[in-house]
Amino acid sequence: MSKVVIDPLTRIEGMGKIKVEVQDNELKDLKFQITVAPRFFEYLLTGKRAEEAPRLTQRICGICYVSHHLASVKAIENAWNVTPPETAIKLRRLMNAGGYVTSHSLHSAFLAIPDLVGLPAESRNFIALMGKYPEIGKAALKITCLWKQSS
Amino acid sequence: MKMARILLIGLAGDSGCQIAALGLHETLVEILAANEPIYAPTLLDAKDIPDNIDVAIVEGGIRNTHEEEIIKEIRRKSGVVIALGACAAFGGIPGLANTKKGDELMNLIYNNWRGTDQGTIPSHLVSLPEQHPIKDFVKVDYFIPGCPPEVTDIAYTLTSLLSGQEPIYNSTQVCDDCPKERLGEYDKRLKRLHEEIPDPDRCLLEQGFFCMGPATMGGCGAPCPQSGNTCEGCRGACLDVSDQGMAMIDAMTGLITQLKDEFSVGTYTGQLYRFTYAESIVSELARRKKK
Repeated sequence: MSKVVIDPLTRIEGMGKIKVEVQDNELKDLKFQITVAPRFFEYLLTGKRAEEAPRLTQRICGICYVSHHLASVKAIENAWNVTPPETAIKLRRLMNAGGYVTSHSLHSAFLAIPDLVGLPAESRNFIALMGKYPEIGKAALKITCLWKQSS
Repeated sequence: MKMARILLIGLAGDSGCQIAALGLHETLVEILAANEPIYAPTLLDAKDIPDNIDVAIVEGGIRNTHEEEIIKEIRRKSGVVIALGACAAFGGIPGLANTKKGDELMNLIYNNWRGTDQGTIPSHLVSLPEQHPIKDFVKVDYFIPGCPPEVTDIAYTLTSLLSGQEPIYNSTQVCDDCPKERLGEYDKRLKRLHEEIPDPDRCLLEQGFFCMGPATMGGCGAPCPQSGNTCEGCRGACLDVSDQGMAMIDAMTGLITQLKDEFSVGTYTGQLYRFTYAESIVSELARRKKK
């Protein structure tokens, strides 16, 4: 039986590992394990005042914090039976769009593009990308930080 | 200047500090390119933590045995260890769950909570009883506070260290950076943020909003109060102060003494200790009581 373990998975959002077991050319076992620690936000939010939730839940993920923030705002509005004004909804949409831009450009530049531009296997990373194709790297960094600057 | 071997890792946190570091733009790339980044799962494909690390930058606290092993290994192999952000430095928001033990929480969330695959507790993670700042397990050389940390703090600490200089941190409070006017007069009640629109030019705490500015380490430029939000205390206690919540109660005596409603620490734990519960005196007292 041969066993392959990839630990940790690199250049992904989050943390994880993969375990594969093969016997006689047949897949025996495959496990994808998330190694990010559960931090029990479900529990730590209990008993807190509702208006604290949007700022607490943002810290579930440092990349897609906008989604967590807005989801908890909507949950509170739902519970309190509040309809936000049109301007607020538009602002939130704008905020969400900004979140997309940051998250996608981040994913492209730091995680995915190094695999796609023909860098040698041992140096598929953003630093090597900046060395060989600085214009791609700089553009990605600029887009990623665009939202951060405006928020 | 000698090339420094740099490690960057995220433990029990949310990667937000590493994202904050991106705010350095090309400075970050320059720092990394001028040195030798050797282990950083979010950036590089290296699988094993190498020996002879010069600077280890650690984001996130310690929540399970796996992370406890990693931080000890990093310490053994590193010259300098930096705690980046509130989770690594004080335990951070996940520390608020320390009122219940880790194994009970795993059971509660994975067996009894709507939205999880009930009955399947992840067996590859062994939760510690509590969330810890990394200083509970290893010696930490430098702390960069904040949730997320300020880009300027990250740049200053890194460039100082890499050029062989000792970084010096100020001992101001957030109020020192806040331009709002303070009159020394307090409102008669504590208000929730949605109850009233604050006067933009006056101190939020004096108006009865729970602003953590007086008990929080300065240097951020007070962006939250200036945008009409209360300071949530993400930079932790000021230098040489051991308990952020106690310091806040101390700063609030003018307000508390004339409140119409009763003030109870329990109601405000999420505000007094949002980022520092894991290292607080109250959590230590609760621990002793359980024993």
